[in-house]
Amino acid sequence: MNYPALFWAELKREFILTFRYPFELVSRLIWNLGFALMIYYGFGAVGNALPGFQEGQLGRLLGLLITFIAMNGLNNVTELLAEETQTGTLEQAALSPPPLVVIMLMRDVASLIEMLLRFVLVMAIAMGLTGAQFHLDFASFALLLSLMYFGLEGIGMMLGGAALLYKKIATLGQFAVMLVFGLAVLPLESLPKWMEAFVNHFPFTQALMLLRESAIQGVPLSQLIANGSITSLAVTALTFLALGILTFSFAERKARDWGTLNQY
Amino acid sequence: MNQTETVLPPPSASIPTWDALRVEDVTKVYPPRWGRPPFTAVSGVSFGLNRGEILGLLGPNGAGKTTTIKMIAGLLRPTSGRIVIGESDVATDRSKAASRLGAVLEGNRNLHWKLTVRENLEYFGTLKGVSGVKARSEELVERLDLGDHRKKRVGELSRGLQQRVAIAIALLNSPQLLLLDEPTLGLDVVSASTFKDIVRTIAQDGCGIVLTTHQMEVAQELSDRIAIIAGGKLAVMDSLQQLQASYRTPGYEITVRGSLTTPLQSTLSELGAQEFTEERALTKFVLPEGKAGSLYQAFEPLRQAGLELVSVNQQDVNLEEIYRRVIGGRA
Repeated sequence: MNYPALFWAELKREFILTFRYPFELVSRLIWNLGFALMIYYGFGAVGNALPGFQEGQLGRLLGLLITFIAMNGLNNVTELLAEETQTGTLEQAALSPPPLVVIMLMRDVASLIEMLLRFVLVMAIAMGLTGAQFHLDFASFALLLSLMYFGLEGIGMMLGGAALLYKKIATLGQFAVMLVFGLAVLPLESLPKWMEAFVNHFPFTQALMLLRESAIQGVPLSQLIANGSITSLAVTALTFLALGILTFSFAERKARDWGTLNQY
Repeated sequence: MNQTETVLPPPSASIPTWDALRVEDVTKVYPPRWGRPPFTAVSGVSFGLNRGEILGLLGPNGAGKTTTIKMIAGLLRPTSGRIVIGESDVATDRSKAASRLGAVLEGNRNLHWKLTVRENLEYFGTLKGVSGVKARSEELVERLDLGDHRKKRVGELSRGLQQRVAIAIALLNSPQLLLLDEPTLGLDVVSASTFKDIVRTIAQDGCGIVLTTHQMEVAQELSDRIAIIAGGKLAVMDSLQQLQASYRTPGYEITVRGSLTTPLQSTLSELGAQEFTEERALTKFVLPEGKAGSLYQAFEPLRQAGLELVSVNQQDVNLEEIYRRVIGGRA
């Protein structure tokens, strides 16, 4: 199987669909930008009175925009599966030679690339309009964001596996999204110790802390590598991803037993 | 394409020579879930298919034909038994088996409606690992007469054209085996006819085809062999010619112009006549072959009643009648 060609096909499909509907694309960009500005100005007005909102407007903007990406990472597989089951194309994917888990992963990476480009564009416009400045080193930013995404992707794959078997898993998905949102805005030190230990091993939490260090405090990538922070995040992210792939593959096998692969 | 001369082995016999597909003693039991008891959808089904041959798989709703098709496609795992496409076992070598398989299982739903015909072909071609996917896509576009539509989004096409695109996608990897689930459902007469021509050509090119349909005339026109599945078991499988020979009720259908009086109908009944029907001033009845000696005796009262003899035909049986009898016997 020519996996690079398969990835290229997924990427091409993603961008064809993105640009095929220009009204939807522009609406999405406006919505993303509007949300960024709302966070920057709106939360700025009340944020200083709330715990967890005390790291300045830049932190809030960064944290909450990254939350968007994280939510996407969590729900992408489930949404793709739901959509493709309804349209019938999941069946074509499932009877193709590559394992379904590989196809879904490639679709997700293609989706990540489209989203990263949209994110950079929205951030650039937002920075131009607000005058806010990040110490954005694109290499560190892309690396940290990708590691976070892959970690969350692992959780997304677990949710996707559950969707293959149980179909309606919206509540579980909403819980995961609320967890991410909560971690983005709540100060970890206010959590009970057991919960703090749990969330410290959550890829989103680790990545968000490093992204803030990198983008707001200007800590260079070399320093994050030297102090082991990146390694720790990479291990967490890859562990979650591996668990996600295993869970999804197990669920796919079960779905082929139960006959739920192409039902919705 | 139908009515082969070959005498085929019964479904349970060992069939090691089929080069497109072997289904060997396959059973599917859906496991218990959420309090529902286990359900046996398919039980001990065996059959084979050669390249270039079309097998019509028939059966009522819930008989197990879709389950069988999905097991062949690898979308469902059999509880026991073995399915081999070409030389590849679907359970242990799914990837290789899939590379030899084409399928149109949900008709036009299997396509990306937002992509154009060419984009669909190139995308699915890559997914199926086809080398030289652009050239192969273009070849199929021309072959299936989709040239004027290659840049149109699939969602803009008629159902007949969408079905042709689905077939093109299924053929991208030059499969040894093609699965068609209700391929002519919802197609108008012209589209269905075009589609049947396409299916015949594909088979002539050496692809084995398993066709499921509820449209008896489609199965009768296209199939080299017919398999009827009922209650999860293979009830019969043979060439249409053999099935007709087995299920024919020998006899004659006699048509006269005008109505039969009650005494005349009684006289004919005493000679063995049955299945009296009257339509558009014509009366038909059947005289079974065992009563063939009565054929000449039947003419006399008809002549005396002044009824014009329109036709005397040896009775035949079509696929629908065979199907009704098989299913009726199994229901």
